[in-house]
Amino acid sequence: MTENSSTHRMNSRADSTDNIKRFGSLDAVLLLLCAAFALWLYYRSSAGVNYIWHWGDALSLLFTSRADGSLPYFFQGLLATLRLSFWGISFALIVGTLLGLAKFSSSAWLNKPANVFIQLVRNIPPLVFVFIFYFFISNQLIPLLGLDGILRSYPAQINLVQETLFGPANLWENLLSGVLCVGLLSSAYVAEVVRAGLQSIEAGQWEAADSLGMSTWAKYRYVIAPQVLKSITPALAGQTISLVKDTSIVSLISIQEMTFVGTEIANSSGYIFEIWLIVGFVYFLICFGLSTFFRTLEKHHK
Amino acid sequence: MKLLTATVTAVLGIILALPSTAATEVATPNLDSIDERGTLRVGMSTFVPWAMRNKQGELIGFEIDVAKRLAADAGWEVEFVPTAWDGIIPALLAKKFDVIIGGMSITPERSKSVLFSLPYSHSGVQVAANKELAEGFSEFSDFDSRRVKIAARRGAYTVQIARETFPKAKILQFDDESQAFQEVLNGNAHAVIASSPKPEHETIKHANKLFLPFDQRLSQGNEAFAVRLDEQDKKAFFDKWIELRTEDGWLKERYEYWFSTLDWQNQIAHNQ
Repeated sequence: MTENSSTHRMNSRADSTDNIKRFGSLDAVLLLLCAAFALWLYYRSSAGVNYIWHWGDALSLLFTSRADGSLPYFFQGLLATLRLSFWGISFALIVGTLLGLAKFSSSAWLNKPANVFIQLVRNIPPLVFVFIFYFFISNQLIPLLGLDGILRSYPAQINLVQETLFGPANLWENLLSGVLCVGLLSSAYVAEVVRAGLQSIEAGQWEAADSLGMSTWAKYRYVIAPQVLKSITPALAGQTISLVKDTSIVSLISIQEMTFVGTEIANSSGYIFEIWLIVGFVYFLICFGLSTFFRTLEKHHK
Repeated sequence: MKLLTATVTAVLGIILALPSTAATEVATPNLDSIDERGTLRVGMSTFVPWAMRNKQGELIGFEIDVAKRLAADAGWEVEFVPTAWDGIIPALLAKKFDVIIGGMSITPERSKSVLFSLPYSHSGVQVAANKELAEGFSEFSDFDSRRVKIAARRGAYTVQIARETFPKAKILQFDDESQAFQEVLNGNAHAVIASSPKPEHETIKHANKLFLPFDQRLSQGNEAFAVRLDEQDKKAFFDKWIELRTEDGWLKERYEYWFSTLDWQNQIAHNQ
């Protein structure tokens, strides 16, 4: 009864373990409706849309390895998306936590600039932010830090660890721009989550820590942080998943991740619908995997 | 007061003198920076048959041949920077690459933001129409109606041609050409306007759905390399190369191969 349980999960958000899973008439009706919709979609895709499907060709295209025997182009894009997500979320967590702490701080020197940054990023559409950031800021920032030269003149020979973590050397600058973009974008949201978490701690906890004569570090490390972390994990999980999806936005500034690679393959081969459906499915797999992972993590903590 | 006047004059004199000395000292700063790096970075966008991915994911196409030959002749390595078409001019201005070799047609608007070389290819724009919706259409005026929808690739030169030729028609813009053609095949638009030879190729492929309403191409486009506005030295260098390769017929021969034959079709997935 896998269908039964899956519809059940879809219909009831509160999926507690003691919920009795029974196949009711409503489930049957919903299943029928879903099936009818799927059939109608299939009918439209074959009759209404004038499109000849080439699933076999499209799939074999995606699995064709490069001329030099390396990973297929599509998988290089997928790996780039994973790298971008990993470094992006690491960057966002660090910067976001610092920003959140700064915004929570009582010093105007810290909380005002942090607040300005957070409000600016949160109130601009991600796409617009990405364009502004890429063409104006990243363009000034990377040469300023001298990274341009370092990344470009890096010896062509890189070892396997570097390759796995950062990808091919000629795309490092590309990856860095992407990570900065997604990371900064996401850090503003992470900062708000952290600040809200900090504010949710009762005054009594702060006072108790102070009255025990704890240093600032000990206070945060042993009293505040454990409680904050527990309360903000669900929100951070949501932010992580949304960051993975946001990485597709940076395809517009030519960061060569899965969406960008998908566009190129779809345009060159003409298997537009197949490629986009596959790309969508892969994003779904990554994000669904992540959300399952976080759910088990939360249950584990309880 | 005297001292102040003297200082101001001196400062002004220095400011005025500086640019002229700088200009005479360095003749080809932009070319030198490519020489120093040894690599020509070329901005391009996927656009059949100008530049596309073959089955193995390698770049092939007319543009790719041109850029490779240019780099080989100048003794440089070549590095392609695939870029989304919408952002290709901003990316050039932001120095993400040295030159756009991307089938970019020369237009007065674009000339305000980039410097074009001499044209290296002359393509045209053609219309492919849906056989049912546009039945019997053969004049420009047939398409110039509020009821007619014409599909085109966003931001492309073709949109401009479509607006000029069919001012009353509704122009539907898509991110890439395949989507624009699909819209006509689906019967959601009367016609699609695109750079030759794509409309001709598609009409052959979907002979039961599409036809070419006009015998003549709509406009003669001139495609050129694009560099940043202040890079006259690069333009001069590219102009010379284009002149040379036009004279010896190499550009024409490559153009014929990619645009008039379909010999390269087996290198890419065969649906195109």
